[in-house]
Amino acid sequence: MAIRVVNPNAEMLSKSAALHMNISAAKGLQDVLKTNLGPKGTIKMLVGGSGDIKLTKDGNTLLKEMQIQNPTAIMIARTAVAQDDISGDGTTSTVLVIGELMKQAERFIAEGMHPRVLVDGFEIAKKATLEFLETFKTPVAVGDQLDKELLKVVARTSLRTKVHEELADKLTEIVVNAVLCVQKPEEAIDLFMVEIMHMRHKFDTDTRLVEGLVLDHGARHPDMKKRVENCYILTCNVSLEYEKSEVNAGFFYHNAEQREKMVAAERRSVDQKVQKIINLKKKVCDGTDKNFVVINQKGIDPVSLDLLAREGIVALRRAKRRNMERLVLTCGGEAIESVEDLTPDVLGEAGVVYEHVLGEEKYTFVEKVKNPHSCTILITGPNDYTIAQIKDAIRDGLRSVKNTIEDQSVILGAGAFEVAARQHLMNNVRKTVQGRAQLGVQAFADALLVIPKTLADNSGLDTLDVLINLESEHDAGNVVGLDLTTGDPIDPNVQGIFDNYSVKRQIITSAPVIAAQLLLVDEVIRAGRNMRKQ
Amino acid sequence: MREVVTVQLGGFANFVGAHFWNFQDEVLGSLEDGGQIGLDMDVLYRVGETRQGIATYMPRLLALDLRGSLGAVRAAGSLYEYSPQLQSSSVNTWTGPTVVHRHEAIPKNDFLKYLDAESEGWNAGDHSNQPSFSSIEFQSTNVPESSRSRDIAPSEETKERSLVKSLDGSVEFWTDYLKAHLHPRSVYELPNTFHGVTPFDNYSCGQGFFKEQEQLEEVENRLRFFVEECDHLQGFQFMVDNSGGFAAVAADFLEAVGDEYNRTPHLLFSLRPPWSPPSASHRDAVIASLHESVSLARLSSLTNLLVPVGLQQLASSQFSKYTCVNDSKIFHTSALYATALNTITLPFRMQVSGPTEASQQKGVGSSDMSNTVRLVSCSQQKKIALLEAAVPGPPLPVVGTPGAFDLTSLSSLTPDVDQSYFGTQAAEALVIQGARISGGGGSASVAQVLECTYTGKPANRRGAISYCQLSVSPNPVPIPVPFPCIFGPNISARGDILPNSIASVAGRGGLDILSIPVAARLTSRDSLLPYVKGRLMSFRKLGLSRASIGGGVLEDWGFMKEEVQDLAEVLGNLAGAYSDRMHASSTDSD
Repeated sequence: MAIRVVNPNAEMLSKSAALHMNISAAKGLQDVLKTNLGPKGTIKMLVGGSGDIKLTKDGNTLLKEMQIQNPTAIMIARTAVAQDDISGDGTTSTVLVIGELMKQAERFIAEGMHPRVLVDGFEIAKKATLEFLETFKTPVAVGDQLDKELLKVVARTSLRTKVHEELADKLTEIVVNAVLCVQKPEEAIDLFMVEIMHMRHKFDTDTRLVEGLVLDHGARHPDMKKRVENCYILTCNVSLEYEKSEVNAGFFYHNAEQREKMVAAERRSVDQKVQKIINLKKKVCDGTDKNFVVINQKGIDPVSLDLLAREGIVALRRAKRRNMERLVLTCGGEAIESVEDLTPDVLGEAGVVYEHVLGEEKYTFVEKVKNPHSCTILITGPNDYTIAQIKDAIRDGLRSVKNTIEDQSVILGAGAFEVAARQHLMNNVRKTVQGRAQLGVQAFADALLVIPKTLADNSGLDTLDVLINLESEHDAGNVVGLDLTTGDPIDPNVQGIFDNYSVKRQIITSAPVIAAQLLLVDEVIRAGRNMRKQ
Repeated sequence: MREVVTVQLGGFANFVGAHFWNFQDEVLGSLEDGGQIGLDMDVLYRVGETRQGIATYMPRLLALDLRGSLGAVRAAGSLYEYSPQLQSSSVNTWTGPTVVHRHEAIPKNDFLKYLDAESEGWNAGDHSNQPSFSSIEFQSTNVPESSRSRDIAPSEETKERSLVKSLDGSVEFWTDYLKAHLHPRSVYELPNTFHGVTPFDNYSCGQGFFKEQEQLEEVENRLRFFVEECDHLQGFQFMVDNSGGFAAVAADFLEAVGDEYNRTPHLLFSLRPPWSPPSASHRDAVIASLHESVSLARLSSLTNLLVPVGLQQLASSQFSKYTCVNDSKIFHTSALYATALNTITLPFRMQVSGPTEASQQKGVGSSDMSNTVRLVSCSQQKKIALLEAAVPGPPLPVVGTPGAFDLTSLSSLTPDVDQSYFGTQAAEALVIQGARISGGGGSASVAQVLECTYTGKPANRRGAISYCQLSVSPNPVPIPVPFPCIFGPNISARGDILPNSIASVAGRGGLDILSIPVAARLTSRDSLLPYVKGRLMSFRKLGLSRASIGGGVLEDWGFMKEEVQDLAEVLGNLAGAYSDRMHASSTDSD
């Protein structure tokens, strides 16, 4: 072999061995993630070498936790993780479908079929399935009147695969309200405007939606009030601390007096800035029962804090960059970069601002705001891994609601789409295909069934019975999904099980591409130190 | 207060950092009994409180590393969170089946077990209900000075000896010998990387970690947590492992947080363990060389002062005179670098001394980071500085005899410098701590050190050095127990350099040596020119010419043509700041 001449240490796998390696890697990965799928799946607890715990029901998280070294598996995992990045969910499904496509292909290849022909069949089937998806989807009315119930149904479907039912239903309410809060007509939904904040509490597990903002720090002056009502909020990014002149200022002091002067001048300019804020406060608050809160992205030093505290102003320093944007969306007003020409227009308003202390951690709640376009989901949990898992679930839930609004459509869940698509491919599409590529279409159609099969399997149902039931019910002209408790066919429309259109679309688009690439591999060459290094 | 936030990025940086914090831990212990004076440890440490209401005193530190690089120690630490118990009831988010995947537990080494036992003993015995805010109260990990004195029960001593000995051979992770407890927010493990699995040996490996919004926000928030507490942040001290991908992680990190803290000085130590010459493969050599140039260009443009630290070989360097460092053990090499870093950053932690002699006995020359950075960089004209140190520091001449503090004993820890370059303008910050008087004359007072320093050959100096800052502290560097046995046989327990060996074997460590004097100097002398110029030249040769593999490598790393040009320009400007005159001359350059 040529490569041996160039590099005698190179390892090589011939065609059949390469194919075998790819297929077994895909199947292996499928086996790992299989039990994850659906509301009856298995949650995985990962314990690290030092005793660190991670809890996950999410294929995406699991893939990221695994030290995958097999190059084929890495390729599949990357596709699946990209799936999550693009659509927010469907990692497990992607891995399952890729694995199943490889499995089906193996059967035909063992009978002497050329992978190329199969791949051609995949391509035809993929196109047909995507077209079918368009006819199968359920449109969702968007615009001024969003169908909140439907959004809830979609979010619930997603969340129930991540956390238990009771919690899922609670989170459903929260994520839908959160998205509706940040959503503006005619604008893309920016999920970053939903802040997700957590608190550790020994005995408490709770999640709630705060219509306002929760900041993870508090005022740094002992005299500042812990709770103020009826407040003006000044959101700013102005340094209120005495800083030495910048490091690159090109001068040195020549004597102590000069230095003193410099220090005094610096201090004075900071004090002037503080005074401008105080003036604005006096202007808007004097003679009223209003309070004044300053939330600054830059620092505020003790002298400035003291000046502000004396005027009864509550001041927070070093706020998150993104909170500047969130605050303005929550309370109104605008974030200012300089205290020159301060006018009352820049101020936002909040009904109450209060501090909550847990050990060394302080939280500041900005609540009772009039028309918030940003909000906070506050998770309380007993330990980091529980909080992390709930956070992951919330992210997926938020994405599912956002997807629904942006897709303007949903897909019936519980395996209904896969069963319908398979029947469509077998009954309608296959006949139109010339020659052996038909078998590719068939393999693709059968591979889709991995979703309902795995759902049934994870629920402890008899897979074969279930599939036969589903198919005959479908052929009777009904849209059917799988009831995971009884194993009977159900109408997901009635049960309220909906998946995201974009998630499904992404799975159908990417899985066959990867499977095709893996099937068409002729040789695997391992040369050099490490194939992954480049 | 003048807080410093420490940021450690990457494996070797954390190894150095662990030694650094062990020094601080030791200092905290002896501040209590007056062994160390005139220091303000709040500069580096923060006061906190656990959820159980127990006060803590922990480093103001953010440390990034690959996943799994903490060995047996949990990233969240152990003070704030009990080790999680594995019970079925611990999963309260799922009612369905649970599967536990357990990674093989990494056993704690004997030293960590010893620390655990000690802190448990402390908890059980001393857990009185008198909350005290004196720093030492919380330092459960401090090895009491008494346990190291000679009159201790021999069994205890043999036990410690075997502990230290086993540590020397077994250190694999930087947490294996770290005494300090870290805050749960301090350690961040880069997601999707695995220690020992993910290749991380050149610039490209570390790119893009902060493109993921979530990861960026997480790191920003951790840093914010420490910064928000600071009333007068004097600056950030960065330790960056420059031997691989962490150079890129650091550059991305600095770029991301730079906006937020652009007025705060950034002092960056770019660290690297000894390395063997590039392998035979041409491509590997090109990659290694480009990595050097790219990381220098990127990091220097994002900091106020960059200090490259890391000789290709320590074992054959000047430092081998009094130490016996094994170049293949990063536990050893990191210890030597940490010693120099500890000393050079000492002025940031020294209390400001008054004009009276009494207050000056506690040390002279406290400085804040912004002053030091501005001075050494000549107001940002020279952004690379070289670090020199003498470990242990040279003795002062016997009182009454003529002579000066021997500055020639300081040798460079920065590679590729040539002392024969001697331009006209440069600045330096010199720190001398715990100086001893030669011939067994004991500790020198601050005044004595001041008297003997900068006295020799004044005529010669005037032409070469424009600005200098001298800091003198009476405190020697206390050597912690888990410090590797790298001192030579002729070093005494107090760090005196003796004419004859007192030990039969080389390799004296924390149990034999209590403390040592150290001198360190940070300077922007023109000796640095070969370091900068070498990187500029190789970048021009490899990166800019289209024919070489280098162009392709840079393209693979995601650098566009214009960006490559920019990098070359940055390097050109860096080099331009240093004069290439080989001998001192009286005319002004520049």
